[in-house]
Formats: sequence, structure tokens, C-alpha cells
Amino acid sequence: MRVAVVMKTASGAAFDAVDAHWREARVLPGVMSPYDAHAVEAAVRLRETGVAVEIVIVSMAGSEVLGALRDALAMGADRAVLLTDPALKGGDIQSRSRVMAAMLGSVDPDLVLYCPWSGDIDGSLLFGATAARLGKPVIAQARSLGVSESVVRCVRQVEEGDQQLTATLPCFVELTETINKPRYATIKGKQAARAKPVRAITLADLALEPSDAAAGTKSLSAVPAPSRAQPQVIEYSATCAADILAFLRQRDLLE
Amino acid sequence: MKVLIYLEFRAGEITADSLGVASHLVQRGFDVTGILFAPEGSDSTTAFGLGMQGVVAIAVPADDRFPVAGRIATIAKLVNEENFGTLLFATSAQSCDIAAALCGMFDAGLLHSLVSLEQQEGELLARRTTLAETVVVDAQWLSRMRIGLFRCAAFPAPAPGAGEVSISHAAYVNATAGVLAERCETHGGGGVALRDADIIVAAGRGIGAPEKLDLIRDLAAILGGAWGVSLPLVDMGWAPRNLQVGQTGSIVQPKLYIACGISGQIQHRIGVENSGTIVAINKDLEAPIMGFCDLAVVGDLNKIIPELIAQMEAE
Repeated sequence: MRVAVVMKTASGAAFDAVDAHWREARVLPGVMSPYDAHAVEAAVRLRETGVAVEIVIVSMAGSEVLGALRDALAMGADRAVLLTDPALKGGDIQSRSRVMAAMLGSVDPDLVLYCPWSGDIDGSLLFGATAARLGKPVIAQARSLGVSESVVRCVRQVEEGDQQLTATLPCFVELTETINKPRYATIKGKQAARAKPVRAITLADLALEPSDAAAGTKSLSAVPAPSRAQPQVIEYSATCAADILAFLRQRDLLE
Repeated sequence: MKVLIYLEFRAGEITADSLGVASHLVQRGFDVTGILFAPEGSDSTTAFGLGMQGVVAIAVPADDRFPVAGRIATIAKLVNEENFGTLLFATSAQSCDIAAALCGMFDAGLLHSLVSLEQQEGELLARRTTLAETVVVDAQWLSRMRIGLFRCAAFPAPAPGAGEVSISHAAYVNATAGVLAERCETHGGGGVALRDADIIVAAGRGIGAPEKLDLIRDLAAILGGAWGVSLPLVDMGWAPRNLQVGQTGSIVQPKLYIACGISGQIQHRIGVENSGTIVAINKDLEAPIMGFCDLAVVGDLNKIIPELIAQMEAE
């Protein structure tokens, strides 16, 4: 079984929140996101149990992500494919999923894994849209992962409780960070990683035009969100409890 | 402008979040049609009186093994037949699955975390939050087909109205492939579901030991509220997952949230930020939560909580 792990670039440092919104994703050199590590770990464990035969890291970014790719290869992935193209700049879920689908189509995996930050709804939606374009089932927010030759079983926490989900391969699974504890790469692993192939491709290699990477949405303006007023502070004292109740009463919060 | 809103049916009723979005859209002058998947004979009267153009009701079979695939196929059929160009959702686990799939299927532009949608000179203007809610962005779709996901708890639940809404029926397109779902209900604990609670008392690592959760339960009881925990306590096995407050647990919007021994990392903050009033009890004034709460009580919760309970009993 071939397992693809999608690696998303993390944002680097920005001046402030608004700057971070406009600025293109930048990765601190040589650093794999801790979230991506969970997905790589899940893939490596599948190989250790004999379910997976090949692990391919797939990423759409600039060359700044090479360090992160090497980290993943050092953990045990076999090869990486990196799509770099200036036309990717400013893409959104619609355009990125279109490109990612083409990329994964060419890799042709049996199982695609991805672990975003738990608050990264953007990454989560991107993954789901990519799976839909390829006509493959997708399981979101899996807290557990059981893989056999033809079927994947996961548990997902939804509002009402836990769902047991089953999908036939090939399929996409988005993991949550609670799924495992990633290993540290060994020195041997890091050395071996240097020889593992990283193939850089452009949109043209996927038979895509720059217009295929054009976003379907546009940001017009970005301003800092209004924040809560400064809190009132009470230090513990003999009247502490009474003060708290007075505060609650003033806000009409007690019956 | 004609829009389609997904009215999510969960735990026996249409979710307050989806009704809130529908109401917002009606108030902004949109021609709103709701689409509702619910078991045969379900009560959809909460959708009445909101001013929607109509509701398309689809009876879901008892044996709904591929719920997401079935809904996607049914919605896609309706979109093609009725020529809907704008599909809107209130964020939830299921609606994210559906919206993402429709985005891929229809090659549609997708904007999420919306807090409002306006019509301006025939153009759609969406306002959304991003970067853990630190930035507010005005955005537009450039695509022919538009999908929007409103953020959780973007609007208060509208008051039930007295008006009518025209209900039409469509058939459920039963899927035979996709992701098979078997559900285990795990709600319970505390009696009042976190998501609907008006008052919540929550414990974090600062509580120190699982036995100390009695303090939290007692305080919640005397306030008539629900109790919950932050993620670390669930990971340590001190409380079940369904009591977790936070982004990977329940996103809550009570009138009053009392955080005891919780540091207030961003994942927790996102889960509670919509609360009316946040009271934080913590030994450490530098903890993040002490910066975004309304009342910061600096001290030992082992002293403060019993005294608070005693004071309430005395009054």
C-alpha cells in the first residue's frame, strides 16, 4: 500500500495579525510542523506493521519547506514530491484543492494522511475538497486509525458523541494531534534522509495552467478584530467571595 | 438574491446555529430557502416565522448508513434542478464535511468563518474572521458557484416566530458508497449539555487532582449550571471527552463561564470566547486567560470555590 502524507507549510513570523493574513506562508527553515509529524508517524507505523510499503510526502510550497521534508524523510518516509510554482501565490481552497488533486492523482496513493492544527478549518476544508475532486471518501478529525488491506476504521468526535467511521480504500483521512506521539528522528535516519529523493515539480508537470491556480475568492481588507476590554482584577481576600457575587449580580448573572 | 441554507437537524431539532444564520440572511434581504434532512415526522416548526421563502424537507431513512454522501448527492441534485448559486452553512462537523465536498464537486469558491453576509449593489460581501479570530476580513467570491460557512455561534438563536413557511418535499438520494457512519451516543454527565448551557464552571490543570472536581461540580450545581473540563484533564483520564470545553471539545457560549485553574491557551480560548462573561480563578496573574477574561480572581481555587459556595448558601 502506498501512503501519501500531505504536509502543509506553517506560517512563519509576521509583524502582527493583519500582516500574517496578507503575507504568504513562510516556514522557518529546517522545521517540520509538529502537526505534520503526527501524520508522518502514523504512516511510518503503518509501514512497521507491514500495511504500508511506501510513504510519499506531498507538499505545495516554496523551497523553504525542504528542511521540513528532510525531517519527514528522516522519520522514515521514502520520498517527497514538492510542487513549487509562482502561480500558487494567493490561492484559496478552491484553487489549492484543484492543484492538490492533480498532484495526488499523479502520486496515486491508496491512503492519504494529513494532520492539521485543530483550529485549522482552512486545511481541513482543503483536504475534504481535494478528496471530493478525486471522488474518494474522506474521514475528518480521526482520533484513531485502523487500517487493513482494503478498509480504514476511525473514531471521530462530533457534537453528539463519538462516531465510528469506516471507508474503503483508496481514501483520505485527516488526523487529529491526539492520534499518536511522533518519534524523534535518529542520527541514522537524518543521514539516510539526505539520499532520499525529493522531486520538485511545477504546474506544467501536472498539465495545469497558471489560471488553474487562480483563487475563487478574494480578500478586500483585513483589520484587527475588536478585543475584550481589560479585565477587572481581584486578589484573594476575606471579602473575595462576596466581591465575586457582587460582580455577577451587577451583570445580572445570578437568579 | 436567492440562497440555500442548510438547516442542520441534530438531537431531535434544527440547530440554533443554523436557525441563527437563516434569520440573519432573511434580515439582510436575501431570498432564503432552507434545506432540511430529518427523520420522517420530525418537528420543523422552529423554522417557521423566520421569513424564509421556503423549506425543502427531505425524509431521512432510519438506516442512514452513508449520511454525508447521501446529503451531498441530494443537495447536488437540488442545486442543479433549482439552479442555486449560493450555498450557506453554519459550521459543524457535518456541515464542514458537506461544504468541502460540494466545493470539490462544483469547483466552487469557499469562504469560511463568516460572521456576516451582505448584498451591496448586486454583489455579495462576506465578512469573516481569521487567524484564531484576531483578524476581521471583508471578502468576496469570484467564482460562479459560492459556498459559505458561518462560524459557530455567529448569531443568537432567533425567537420562535408565528409565521408560516411553505414546505416542499424532495426525495433522499440514498448513497451506497462513501464513509459509513455508526454512531455511539456519549452525552451525559452533568445533566445540562455544555453547548446549550447558560452557566458553565470548568476545571483545568490547576485543580490538581481528580477528586477536587467535586468543587467544580458543587459550584456548578449551586449556580444551576453545567460543568466541564479543559483538554489536559481528558487526556489524563480525569473526565470523559464529552465534558471537554475547547476547540477540540465543545465550543460554548454561556452567559457565564467560570474557569478554575485553566491557563487559557488559544485552543481553549476559541472554545469559550463567545461567552457573555468570563470569570477566571487562577493563582497566576500572567496566565493567558487572565488577559482575556472579564473578572480575574487571583488566588487558590481550593479556598475561593468553597468560600464562594458558602457565600451563596448564606444568601
